[in-house]
Amino acid sequence: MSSTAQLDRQVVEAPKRGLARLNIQLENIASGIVLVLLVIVLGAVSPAFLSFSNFLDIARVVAITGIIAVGMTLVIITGGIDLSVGSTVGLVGAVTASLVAGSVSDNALVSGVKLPVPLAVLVGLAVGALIGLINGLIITRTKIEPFMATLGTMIFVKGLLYLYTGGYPITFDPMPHGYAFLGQGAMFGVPTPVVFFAVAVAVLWWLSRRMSVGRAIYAIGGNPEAARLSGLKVDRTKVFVYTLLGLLAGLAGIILTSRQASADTVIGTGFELIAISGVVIGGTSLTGGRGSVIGSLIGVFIVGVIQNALNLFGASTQIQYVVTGLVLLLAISLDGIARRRRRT
Amino acid sequence: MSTLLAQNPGRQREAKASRTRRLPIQGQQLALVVLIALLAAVFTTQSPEFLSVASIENLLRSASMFGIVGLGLTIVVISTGSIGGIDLSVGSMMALGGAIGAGLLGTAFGAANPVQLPAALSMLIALVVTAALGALSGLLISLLKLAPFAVTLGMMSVARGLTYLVIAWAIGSSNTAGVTFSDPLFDVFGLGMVGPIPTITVLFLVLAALIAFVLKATTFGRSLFVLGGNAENARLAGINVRRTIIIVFALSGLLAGLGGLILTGRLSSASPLAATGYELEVIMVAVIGGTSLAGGRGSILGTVLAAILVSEIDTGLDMMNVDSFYQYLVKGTILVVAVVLDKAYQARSSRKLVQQSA
Repeated sequence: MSSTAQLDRQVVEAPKRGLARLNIQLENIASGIVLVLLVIVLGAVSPAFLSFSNFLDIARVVAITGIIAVGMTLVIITGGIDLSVGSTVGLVGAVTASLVAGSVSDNALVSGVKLPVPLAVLVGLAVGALIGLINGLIITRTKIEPFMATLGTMIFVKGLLYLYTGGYPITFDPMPHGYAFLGQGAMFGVPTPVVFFAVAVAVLWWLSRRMSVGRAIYAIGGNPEAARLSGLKVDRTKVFVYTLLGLLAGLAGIILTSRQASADTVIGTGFELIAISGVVIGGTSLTGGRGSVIGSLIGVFIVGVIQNALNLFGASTQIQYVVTGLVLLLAISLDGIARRRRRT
Repeated sequence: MSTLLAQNPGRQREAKASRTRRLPIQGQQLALVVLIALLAAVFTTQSPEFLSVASIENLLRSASMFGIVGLGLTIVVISTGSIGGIDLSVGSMMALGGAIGAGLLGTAFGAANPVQLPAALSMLIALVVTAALGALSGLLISLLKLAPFAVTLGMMSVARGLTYLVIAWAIGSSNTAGVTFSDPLFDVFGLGMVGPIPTITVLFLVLAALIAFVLKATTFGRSLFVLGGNAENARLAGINVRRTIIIVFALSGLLAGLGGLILTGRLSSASPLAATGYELEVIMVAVIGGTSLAGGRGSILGTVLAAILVSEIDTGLDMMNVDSFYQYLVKGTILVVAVVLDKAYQARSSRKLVQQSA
């Protein structure tokens, strides 16, 4: 009875879908305008900001959290969240680094087995995907709130990271050329992390807009019951997006350890906050069903530009903490206000 | 708890109707007591000093600190669980409360000390600030209907950043060293005893009793359970939803600030990194104590017992020299198990409701 009512509502709401889609576009334009305005204002205040090398710098910094943010976008569109990505970054970074020839650590538990770089990267990505898969399975099988379940895996994975590294950093002596390329190299003048980020954005955009799984992701976030009744594989889709996010967080961890030339227990801490901020600033609603990968691309750049500007103006890390938190609060408040206006 | 219900004639009917629902909660509290005793036995066989006076006093102080913050979180989850109510900012709020309390004293060793206030006043200011930030979270959540975890996640980094700023201001440099000081009023938290019991434990138990009384026996307290069960019902029943949400988050901020002052008093120092990750310990205390993350269900007695259990695990594993990495694993596992049990319980009680209505 109630389910048919829900279906009816879905049918009645169907024409609004086009409008809703227009809204998403409008939000993209809005965050895009914010980004352009920020760049113009900061460029006017500080000429150093507008240099090409500074832009490459911003892109390189943004790329790592951006790769996580685009994956997080899909999870949030399904109505979920993943707080464990920061820990995943750390664990995958440490595991991959330890498997690469030339890595050294004072801890006996760290792998003595050394693999060729491509194989080590594959193992690392598999670990990331596995963590995501476990998140997805816990959430779909036990129906625990996603933020609670991933809070649990966040501590758990952090514990595994401590266990694996023994608290000692993993360094390289020397770092193999192939591994250095992932975080420090460049392709045609573009830093490799930025290339990875661009590919991740393109693939996830294609997946979310042009493939049936993308439509399922939006439908599940909009109305899970209706999605189930219309024959969509709700659980399988959810497990898929969490696994994909785990994989991407792993990729970010690999790039980061290559870039920093070390892996330790602190790497990745707080990344969930930066990624979620970027996604929400990009117009993706935390209630699910609404948002876009391109929006998150703009969102992470807004966060990156603000942090870069704070650096240029010599602001301390303390203030950056406060600003990041305030920007997140502002972004979700705007989202809340927009939702209220639409309802009335 | 059941005697309290029996004394209140207006609630007897409800008590009878929900006897089957109430039993497992009592069962859970009984389970907690049994678990505490069992673990004590295990820890004692592994390291006999576990039952020493010093160790028990340390355990009680730690339990009181987590418990006081846990009381606030318990109230937040009971009353706003239906909208995903949680407060992730409690760890940062503790750090901020401690930083303000210690920073305004102006007695830090080798520091700039821009102002010198009496300890009582600096503590009061710390509590006012953390309560105000909590109220701000509540305002955003209720006014704009935002997800509590997202708002408090933002507040978590704002409060952590403010902690850095306050400490940098107090010591006159921006390195991340803490404020180290000595103050008789703060020492009460770390050393004070009332007879054989630490003063903060007495404070904890008094606060717990007070809050339990408010929850059980006042209109406001009952309205929290209604609100947590279903926000729309609460609104229709004439409860001022917005004001209530602001009050509970302000209370959570206040109690977290108090917990932070206690932490600072115990350590005689406030660090910008203090209480990092404590939100997880505090959430564990509430969830293991039987407070349902779905809202509308929870008990203060459970929170008190869970605070003792969690601190017992911490103290015991420390004494057995178990590495902190394994402690992470143990805690993560316990948290997940507690949440799964709560889910199973919810599923069973909703099935029961379906059977009754059929």
